[in-house]
Amino acid sequence: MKLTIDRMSLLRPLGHVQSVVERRNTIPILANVVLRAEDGQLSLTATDMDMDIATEVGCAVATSGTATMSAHMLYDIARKLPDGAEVELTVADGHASISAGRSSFRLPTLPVEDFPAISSSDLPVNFTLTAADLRDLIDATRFAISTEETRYYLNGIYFHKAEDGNLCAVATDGHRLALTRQALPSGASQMPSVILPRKAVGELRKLLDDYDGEVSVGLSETRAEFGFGTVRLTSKLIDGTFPDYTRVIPAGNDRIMQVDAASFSAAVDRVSTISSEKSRSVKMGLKPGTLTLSASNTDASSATEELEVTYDGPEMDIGFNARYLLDIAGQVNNDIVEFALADQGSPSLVRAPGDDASLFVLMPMRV
Amino acid sequence: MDDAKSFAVLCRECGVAGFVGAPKPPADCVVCQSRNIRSHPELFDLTIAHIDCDAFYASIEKRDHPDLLNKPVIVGGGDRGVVAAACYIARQYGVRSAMPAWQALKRCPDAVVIKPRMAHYTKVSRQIRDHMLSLTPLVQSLSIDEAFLDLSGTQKYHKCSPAEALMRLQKHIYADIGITVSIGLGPNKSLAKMASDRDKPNGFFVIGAAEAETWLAPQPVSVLFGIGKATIKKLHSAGYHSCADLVAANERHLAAVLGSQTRQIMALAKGIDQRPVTPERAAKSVSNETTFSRDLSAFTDLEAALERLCSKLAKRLKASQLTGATVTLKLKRSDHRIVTRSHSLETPTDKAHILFDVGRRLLVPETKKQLSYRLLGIGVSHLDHLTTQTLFEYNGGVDDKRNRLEAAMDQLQSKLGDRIIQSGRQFSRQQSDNADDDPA
Repeated sequence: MKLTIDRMSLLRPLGHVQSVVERRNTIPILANVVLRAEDGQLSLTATDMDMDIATEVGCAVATSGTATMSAHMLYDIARKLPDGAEVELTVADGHASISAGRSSFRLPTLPVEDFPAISSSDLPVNFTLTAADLRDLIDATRFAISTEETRYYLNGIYFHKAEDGNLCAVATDGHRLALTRQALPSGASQMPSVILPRKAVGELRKLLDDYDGEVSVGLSETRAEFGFGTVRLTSKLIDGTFPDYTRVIPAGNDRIMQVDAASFSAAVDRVSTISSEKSRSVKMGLKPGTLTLSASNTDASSATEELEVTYDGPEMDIGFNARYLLDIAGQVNNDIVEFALADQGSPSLVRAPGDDASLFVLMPMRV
Repeated sequence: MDDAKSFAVLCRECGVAGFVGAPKPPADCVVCQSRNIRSHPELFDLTIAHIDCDAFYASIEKRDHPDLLNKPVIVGGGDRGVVAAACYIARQYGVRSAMPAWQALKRCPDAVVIKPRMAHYTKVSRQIRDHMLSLTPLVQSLSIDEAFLDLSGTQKYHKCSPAEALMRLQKHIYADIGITVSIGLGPNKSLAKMASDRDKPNGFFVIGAAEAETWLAPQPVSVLFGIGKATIKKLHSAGYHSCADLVAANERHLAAVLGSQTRQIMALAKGIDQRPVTPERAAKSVSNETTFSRDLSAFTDLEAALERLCSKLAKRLKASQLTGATVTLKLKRSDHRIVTRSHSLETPTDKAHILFDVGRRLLVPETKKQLSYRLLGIGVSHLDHLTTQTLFEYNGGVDDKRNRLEAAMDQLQSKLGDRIIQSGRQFSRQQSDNADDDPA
């Protein structure tokens, strides 16, 4: 195998695939990227056994062939070469030679046959989404993904067709829940309900950063594939049942408070300076027209701040984790945040007023 | 009349306390004529006490088995074969704690040897501690059977001096629990600890600040509280044997032996001890463990044991209204090596089903190693009183159902015993255990 490619053309696709490769690998070949040079194209594939990313880029192929070599090493080499460098890559006799200008590198290779086969089972459901829509689905929910490994079924975003026929994305860690809906794309009416693991969500979101246009989605019960431009990301899905989240979305919360999102965030941030490291709790004291945020610590320090709000319900106190409040206030894409509260022990509903597409549920803390 | 002095006197029989004017310390109580009185110039001013239970384990066994009352009793033997406690009768034969059991029996062949029931002793210890805490919150336990108490400032509350309050405590403990304790009263911890050792069993001994240095002078350095064996050895080999030796020592010479501890130890030898009575911090972790009658290696066997332990642990957490954020599984291999595996939860818990879920996940990889284990334990740390409810515990969520099941089981078991309801896993094991026992 022998090819020539300019540094920038190599760096970009390598950047896409190398991030899926785990830094530490017990199986040596999983640290490698598969390179395949053929018909003026270089295709690159990497995997962590749960997810793989494949992409391709045009190059001058002198001799076609395939090889695998350390993904991180090759990426670092490409990264450190000077701008505009012309890279020559040759594979022969179990090693790869990379040369550009006066630099040359030699990397060991491993046989392509040892690389795990990339799954390519049938994906019965296929549809397309715009990159912007997919970004919205991810951005509105990913912050609520649980990291608790014992609840593996919460370690991802749950994509499914909701009762109302919309495409719905949900994530929760048991303390907060984030949900967003969009019109179901055509072709998705038979889509299975799937849980896309956190790592795949992260990689997908990174790849979507510099892409605008249509994303093709292929789904089966066990696998999801996202294709856009020259990139294809395939991921296993979490084999588990997402809990029935509809039960915890409160329907009858009638104490409505509306507050300016920016001043609310700033005030929560200030007051929470005081709250104890462990609980990070902030108390919201409500009376008509006024919200009093307060926090205290066991060492007798305390803080309060008053905000003007729209509220005409009865006086009440309710406590929340400050971090969760900040996360959610940051997610509500609106100047005004609306809290629908019931009592200090029940979940609260947070959203932009009048926005039925996205909502957040927040479990209060005892304060 | 010129010779008449005023002596602080406390009668241990009738409890009367007061000052008696006499030329020399009175020999008996002015009210009940008992000779069991304590008289000391500082009696009503001293506030630091050391309370030591007399032959604790042996006393509990005697209390529980009155037929042993007049027999020499040794608690111990067991795995390591040493004396954990010897009653005062056995001690007359020269039996001492930590003596190998065979040696003890050689000295006292008639001794009744009892296997220690640690859980039971711990329970009694807690009852005694509760009594102590009724006097003052400043109780510092040193071990299962001894503690320091600081009674400064309690005079108004108890409407009597610390000495009187302590004497009443001693009587209450005996009346309620049936165990005698010895009390040492002094101006500081070191002196109080020495005092409790001077009058045993059921004693009450006072060392005052004024007499401390003279009192200590002839004592060996080993009486000082907080000096370890290594330090004593160093002092001996440098020629310091008594407390007087330390007081008379050149500070610089002594520093060569003791280093940074020099000043403190010299002060101790003069009867000065600034260390406060510090009540122990709240528990940092709660755990339960079990040693198997035979080593286990199969996952299903260990899993069943784990489930029982988790249920016990959760009950303890709920009883003390605690939740734990880090779950630790402990395994002891056949070769006595201990393995621990931990997992930190996002939400602290007191629920058996969650502890069991996590414990099981930690257990799985360990049982794939083809090893057998003699002990299994599960514990939680990072304790808190916070109970953060999660969304899933609410309104029919996944955990709501399991929580309600657990609460119902807890309720039934507390009313009707643990056997009244149990998981299928425990039930089927019991069935097969019974089948094993069946001689047919």
